[in-house]
Amino acid sequence: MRTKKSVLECESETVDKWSRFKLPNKLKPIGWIIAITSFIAFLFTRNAGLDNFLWLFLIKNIGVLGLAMVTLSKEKIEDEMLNSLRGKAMLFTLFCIIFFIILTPFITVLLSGLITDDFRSTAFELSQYNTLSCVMLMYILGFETMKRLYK
Amino acid sequence: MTNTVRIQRAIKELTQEDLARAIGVSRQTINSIEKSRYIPSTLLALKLSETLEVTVHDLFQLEKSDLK
Repeated sequence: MRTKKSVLECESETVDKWSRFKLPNKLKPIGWIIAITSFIAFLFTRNAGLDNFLWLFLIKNIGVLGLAMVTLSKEKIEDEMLNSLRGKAMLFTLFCIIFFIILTPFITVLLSGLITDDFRSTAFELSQYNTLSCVMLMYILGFETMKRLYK
Repeated sequence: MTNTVRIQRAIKELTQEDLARAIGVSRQTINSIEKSRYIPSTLLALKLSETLEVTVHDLFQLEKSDLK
């Protein structure tokens, strides 16, 4: 006999399924290589003055993709303690990112004001790439630190 | 919460690695449970009790501070 599932049950199943989604552990080092390479390429492009929009767009997207691979990949042995640590790391990231978004413009304006009078030219660009990269880096940092603490 | 996982494991002559493999977790998780840094889920507590052949109550005990 086929039983009907309620909308809530279907939704919770979908959320459950997606919250458990993780990439294979093999992709973690590949993700690091991609992220670091694109970061170096980004610095090189900026310093060389090659501000090609399409090239920068590609580098930034590939870099974010590399960090996402590191963030979403499994550990060698995945268990419930690691899942709990992931939750804690996520909360830590949330706190950090709230402070980051609220305080960064003030700090950069203050710092740039000390160096130069032109605030706008030196103010930190709060783009989606910076925010997303910071979220993922904070998460990786929090997760790795907690893993060491619980060793 | 206190636990006697380390003692029960020693009685059974199992290493952390053996116990971890038997219940499908990492050695670090067993170490964290033994040091009371991590409180396992009911499922993991039951798996531990089954592998170590003791009751969950023999493995985990509440402290006065937990009852507040």
